[in-house]
Amino acid sequence: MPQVILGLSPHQWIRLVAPYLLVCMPDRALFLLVDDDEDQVNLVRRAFRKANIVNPLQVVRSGQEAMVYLEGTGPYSNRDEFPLPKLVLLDLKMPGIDGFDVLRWIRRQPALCSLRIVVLTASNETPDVNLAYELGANSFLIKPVAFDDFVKLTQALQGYWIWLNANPEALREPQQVS
Amino acid sequence: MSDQALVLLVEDNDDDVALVRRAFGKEKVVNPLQVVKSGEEALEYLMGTGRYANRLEYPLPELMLLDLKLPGINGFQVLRWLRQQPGLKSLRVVVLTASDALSDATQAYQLGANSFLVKPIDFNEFVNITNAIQGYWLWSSRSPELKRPE
Repeated sequence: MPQVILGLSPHQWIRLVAPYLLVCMPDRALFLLVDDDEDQVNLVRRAFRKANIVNPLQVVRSGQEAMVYLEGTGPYSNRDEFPLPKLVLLDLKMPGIDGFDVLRWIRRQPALCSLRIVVLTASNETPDVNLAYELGANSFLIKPVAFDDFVKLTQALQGYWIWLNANPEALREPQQVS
Repeated sequence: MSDQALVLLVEDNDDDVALVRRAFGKEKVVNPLQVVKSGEEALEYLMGTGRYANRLEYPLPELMLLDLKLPGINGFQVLRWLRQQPGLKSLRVVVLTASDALSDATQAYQLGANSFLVKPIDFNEFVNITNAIQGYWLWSSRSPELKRPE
């Protein structure tokens, strides 16, 4: 994988996003991982660790649980303890309510319309790619087979979506107190 | 997802166009960059009509960098139009604009922007951001199939 995005040093990233640092605290930004496969969940955890990503990673193990989390109901009603994520990493193939169903549901919630959703899946099937974008995924990433490549991918994910991409909840109207 | 993937830049400000061109040109891996200077031209390009009717010469982009402030049809209207076109609606759109206003970002996402980036003022940071854009959207992220109307 070309090093284009990954060639940027942390210092260069910080210079790019300095205006937003105080406001959005990138290290605290929560990732929500939606995946039913225990091995895949562990893979992501390991990759985060290897990539030195300190962001909290919340895992839900089904499409149903993802919806409950994002609704902030049931076990997830305490928003201080279970905040809305800055980025959703969404698997597609899950039993019952699958990734496509979750996508469809999220994009119908007015409060979640700006939620960034990255499909992270083993599937390289073109129909899956097309449908995911059609249903409102922000981006579609295929899980690399080699672990080192996976680590680089998580660095790219964090760098782009947490540090670089402007998130409405991080931008402020001039009069607001942070 | 290749070094041939076209980037469509929708930007009316000549200085900013030059900045993007320079930033793209600074890197070893350079994706072709097509520039249109208005919302109307963007629509024409995407439809493959008028001066862009030669679709071999003017292929569909894999990524659109969209400024919001355009004369005539603005960036929001381009987005709104795009998301209604059956074959084109999945085109990835990165809003790249001077505005860091909360309301602009919210509206852009509501209209279906994939990403929202604030234009840096410093040239080196501009280069960094275009690197990141290429690196993430063209090399890492898988792109959907798009189709122009016949």
